[in-house]
Amino acid sequence: MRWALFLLGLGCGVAQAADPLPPQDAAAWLQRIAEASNRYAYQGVFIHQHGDRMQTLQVSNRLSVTGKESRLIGMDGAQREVRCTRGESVSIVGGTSPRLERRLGSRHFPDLLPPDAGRMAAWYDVRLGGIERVAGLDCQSLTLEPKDQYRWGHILCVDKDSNLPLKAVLIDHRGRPLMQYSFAELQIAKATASVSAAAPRTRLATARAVPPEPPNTIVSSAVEVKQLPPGFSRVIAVKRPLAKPGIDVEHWVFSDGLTHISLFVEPLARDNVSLKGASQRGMTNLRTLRVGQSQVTVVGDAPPAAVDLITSSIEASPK
Amino acid sequence: MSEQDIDRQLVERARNGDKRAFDLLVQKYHRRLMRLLSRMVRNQEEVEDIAQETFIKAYRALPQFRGDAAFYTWLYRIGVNTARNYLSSRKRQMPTISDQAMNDDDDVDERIVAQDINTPESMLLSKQVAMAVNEAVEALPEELRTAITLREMEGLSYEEIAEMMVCPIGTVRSRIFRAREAIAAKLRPILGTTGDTRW
Amino acid sequence: MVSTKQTQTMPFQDAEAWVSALLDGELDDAEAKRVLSRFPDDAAAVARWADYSLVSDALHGDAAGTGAFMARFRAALEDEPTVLAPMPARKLQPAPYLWTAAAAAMVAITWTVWTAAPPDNGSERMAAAQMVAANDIRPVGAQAPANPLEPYLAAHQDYAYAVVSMPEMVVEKVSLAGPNR
Repeated sequence: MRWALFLLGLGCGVAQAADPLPPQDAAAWLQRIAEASNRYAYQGVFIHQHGDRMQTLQVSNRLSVTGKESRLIGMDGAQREVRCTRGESVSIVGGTSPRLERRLGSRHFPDLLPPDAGRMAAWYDVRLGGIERVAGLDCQSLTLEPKDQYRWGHILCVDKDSNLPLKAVLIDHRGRPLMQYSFAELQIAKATASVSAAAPRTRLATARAVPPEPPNTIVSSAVEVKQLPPGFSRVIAVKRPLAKPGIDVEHWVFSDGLTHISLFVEPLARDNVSLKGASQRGMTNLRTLRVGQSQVTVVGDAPPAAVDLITSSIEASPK
Repeated sequence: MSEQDIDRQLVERARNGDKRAFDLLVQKYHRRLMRLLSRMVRNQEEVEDIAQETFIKAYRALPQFRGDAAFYTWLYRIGVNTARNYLSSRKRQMPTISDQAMNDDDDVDERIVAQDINTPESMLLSKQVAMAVNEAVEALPEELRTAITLREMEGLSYEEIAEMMVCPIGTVRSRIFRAREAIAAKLRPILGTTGDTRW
Repeated sequence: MVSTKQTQTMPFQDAEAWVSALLDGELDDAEAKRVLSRFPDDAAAVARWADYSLVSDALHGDAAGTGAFMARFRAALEDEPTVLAPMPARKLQPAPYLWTAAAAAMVAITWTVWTAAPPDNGSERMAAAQMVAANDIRPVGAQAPANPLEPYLAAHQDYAYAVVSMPEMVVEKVSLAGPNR
């Protein structure tokens, strides 16, 4: 099988196509990794690569009573600084006309796994690889192989002491990298006594709760989604202005915790012309088409199968 | 007379040899066409080239315009075909995403199309225009803002707007006109024109 | 409510308002024919037509920089042999109603504001950041994006990861559908 061949081809010494970890061990590993970024303050520089783009960012993460706060500064390209607090982030974009951009998300490398990462073991086989070196630190390599065609694979290399990911690679089903993050330098502070009350540790048993929906939840919509890939649920539903002033677009997000797929629903263009199209670029797949009187756009950091499944199951709501 | 009929009248004039009538249609539709094209082609210069080719093709094809379809629908169709031809000719020159490859997710790496960058100058200008328009709308007296919004964003007819705002149609017409004048006045310094060749 | 027919033949309150009404398809047939006959010769009216078209497109987020597009196009059109192919006469159609009154009643008028912050030190920036209204959540490039897909990608990334460079995407395998198709 291609996957096994890839693992052998990786040539990481001990990184043979080992048997996947038993589910409880896999869950425990994922949970430890997810919690690491809430337990350690750190600062460093990482490189992000997606397609033919590369970006260098300086990151510092500190822990406070309200949770973690981090700050990222782009070191190349346009001046950009992002401050992340729980639940949202604010970007300060520099240049001749600096401006603020507020975003609803605050997750960033190395904090990639959801708080209840243990449940991801249901959708991925986790295999331990060898010990590698990233940013001068020894790290344990792990591979997350999706059990179905609806998710990309992940290769993580986590710091041996803190379990903080030092490197994360998103790979397709043949093991080719789609996107990667890697620390170039990193200093990790001592672990804090415990995770703050605001970010309680989730045990596997209680980890299945779906994140709460935000207050501006949509109660009605022009479309219905009849089928989601296994493990996915709707985690966000908001109305927001997007490209056109004065017109709010419905934005839904479906997620299994690690993979996110957005659905945008808006009225057809003023001249009633609809567009049908598809696109893939690296890890991102996009589909757009007309459903009823709406133009819908599906965008996901997910394989074509997942995006297509959702796209093909969208129907106009019965009025 | 509906918008579609006005367009048809302009086409008719163009077919009678008045190129300026066709110019008016280009003024009206070139941005919408370019927006459509920019969904298919990344580079702004290429978008402009294809838009220009589309309009010239449309002009040559005016005798075939039957007038039963809307002008813009007809124009868009020519635009999409022009862009398709362009993309397929480019595909032979550089690796790009073929329709076949879209269905076969084995070749992700090869699908990355060469990067193109939008002309910063034109992007800056369009941002300035967008900002100026928004600011101008914000600054409008409420009755003008409501009238232009209902017209432009909601596509309501003057009659519907008159009903909603409880005023005569003549007043609606005047408010929309004054709103447009006020917004256009804010744009002219940016474009450095009185609405001539810059746009 | 208001009787609509009576105003159709009323003189304009503003003498030059006809360009605006013509653009909206809101002149009656006789009026439209009358103004169209002198339209291309009226430089001020042509300039208004261009301005109002731009205003309309900009409101719809289509202010994409076209630079000297019109000038270039005119030069190219100049070189084209003039088309002479008069059209057969055809009956005019009534203007379509795009929205129902019920839909119109639910109209909400909202405008987004460009939020600018001074290029100062961090604390002032954070103060400014807190002034951003909680519901003013907009993705990068929400206004007049150079690439129409950019707002979708940016909005999507709100929920994925806070900091990743945006892929540049265009739609491939395109087909269009619309009226008269």
